[in-house]
Amino acid sequence: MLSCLQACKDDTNSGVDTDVRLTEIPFDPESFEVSSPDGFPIFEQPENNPLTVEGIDLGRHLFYDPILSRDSTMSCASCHNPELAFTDGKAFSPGVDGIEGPRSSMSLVNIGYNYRGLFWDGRVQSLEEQALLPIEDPIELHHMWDEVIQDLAQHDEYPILFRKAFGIENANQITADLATKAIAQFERILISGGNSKYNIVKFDNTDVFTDEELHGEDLFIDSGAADVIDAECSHCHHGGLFMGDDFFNNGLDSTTNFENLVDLGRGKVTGFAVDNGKFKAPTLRNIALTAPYMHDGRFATLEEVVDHYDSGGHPAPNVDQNIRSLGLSDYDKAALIDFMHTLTDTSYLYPELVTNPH
Amino acid sequence: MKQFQFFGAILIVLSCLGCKTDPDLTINFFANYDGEPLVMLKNYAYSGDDDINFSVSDFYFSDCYLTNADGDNVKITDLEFIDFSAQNKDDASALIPISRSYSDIPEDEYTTLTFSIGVNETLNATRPEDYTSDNPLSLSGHYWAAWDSYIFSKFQGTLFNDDLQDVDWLFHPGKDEVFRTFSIPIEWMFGADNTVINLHLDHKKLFVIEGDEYYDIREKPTNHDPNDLEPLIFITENIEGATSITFE
Repeated sequence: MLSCLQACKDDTNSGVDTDVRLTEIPFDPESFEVSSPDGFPIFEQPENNPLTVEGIDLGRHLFYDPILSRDSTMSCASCHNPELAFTDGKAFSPGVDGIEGPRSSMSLVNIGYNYRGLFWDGRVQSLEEQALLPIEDPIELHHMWDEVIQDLAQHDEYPILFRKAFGIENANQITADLATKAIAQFERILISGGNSKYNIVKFDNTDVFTDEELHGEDLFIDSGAADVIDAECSHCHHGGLFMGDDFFNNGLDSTTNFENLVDLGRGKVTGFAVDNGKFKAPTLRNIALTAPYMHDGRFATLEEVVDHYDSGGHPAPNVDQNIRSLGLSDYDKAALIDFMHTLTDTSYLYPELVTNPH
Repeated sequence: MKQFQFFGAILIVLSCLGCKTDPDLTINFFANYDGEPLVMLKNYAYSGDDDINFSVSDFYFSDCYLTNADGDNVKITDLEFIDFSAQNKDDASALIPISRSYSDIPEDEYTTLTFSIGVNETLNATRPEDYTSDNPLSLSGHYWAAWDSYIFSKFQGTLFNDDLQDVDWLFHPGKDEVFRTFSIPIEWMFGADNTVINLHLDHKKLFVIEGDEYYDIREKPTNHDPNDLEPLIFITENIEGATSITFE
């Protein structure tokens, strides 16, 4: 497709492969409005990167394209597979060199509503900033942005997509900043939950919870119902996303001090020892689809997760006070899991925009 | 010529008066424990042989205003979220207050500082999803869906004793019945050289019953039960006595 634009090539820069004028292609981006599922937070987007149909489309192409990796074998979707709620089903994700990263890949579903720190340790604040990092990370895509940009500018299709999304006038105006803005736009529309049983029961009123699901909800939110244990879940998993807005040590590892931890988590970001071993409490939307669990994928099933919390976890100086032995019965545990399954929604709010375009 | 100079001088004076602005008022929030700066997860002497630490200390500070000698109220702020757990993480950071600055406060002599802990009934009828993320009321971790209420404050930590089992404790007051407003008498001339209110919250005094008698945390270490608000009201009402004010 780009070949038809070669006539526009600027003679003064002939020999520079990326110098392709694009002004013949219309730039008329269409604004994209998000209608959030009931109960979700207000959808927000940065002023300097508003959603457009064209921006999302470019982001979708980039997200699924192995052109972003050094040996063109991996894309963002390699670790964030739509079939697995945009995770990879592994405890640790190998990069292009086969080296495993230190943490499990997080789901990207509803990631656009995550306004208080991304990654397990909250080390970046925006999706744009986040999308920059895996490209050059040696244990992920292990490429160089300069080379990625060169590849994109020489590509048949991408200069046109960048033109339509951001109005660049020449292929040599493609930048990492624009690429990550597009990826962030795509990630922001990965919205799911409106067709979950939870939403149907709570907001559509066209279905009801089973007795087990209802009991699981009572346990989860500490409804105050008689003879129901407070499972303390919603201290960390709350709101419409069932997600934490803080970082917690949930008792995964025993330690008598703040230093003897394999992964310092939030502490490595803040530099404060009291934050060591703390991690983000991820969304439980689609949690049944995102095994294995925890930042290191140590639990293969939700049953193992519930057993961990029922046990009270392992001692450490900064384990959250809500991590305590619960005394759940087998019925309680099963009910909690049944309730978490009501948060599953395999559909997307904008399914036509989610699929691999390649 | 002298007339021009005279009118010129008047114009300068008038223009200066037009430019005159009140200084910004600053409120510094300090967390202490029995007079020492409070550091998260640091142990302090509690009652008897018990030591105590705090892992979480935060609260909504709302409806704050000053009252002058004529009884006129001047609003300072509708709502702030004060999170000592995010600030007082080590000895050095515990010395640094959480600061908020406010403009358009008239220079005057003020006799009362009023503030509330929590959110008033109107705000408490809203929910986190009603707010954008820059508003502290969007914090879903400070909303208890089962109560239909914001969590007005969070205080939690652990109690230690060489001879007894460690006890994790937690108080999360919420619900309209627990909302409290405090009016503290002051004598303060707010002006160019006096612009800072320091609010010191002594966390030990949160638990004082009377004199040297303190709340028995071991007896009831956790409470976020809407059917048993008494301990939550106790902690909340103690915030008034635990607060001391200095001025700069």
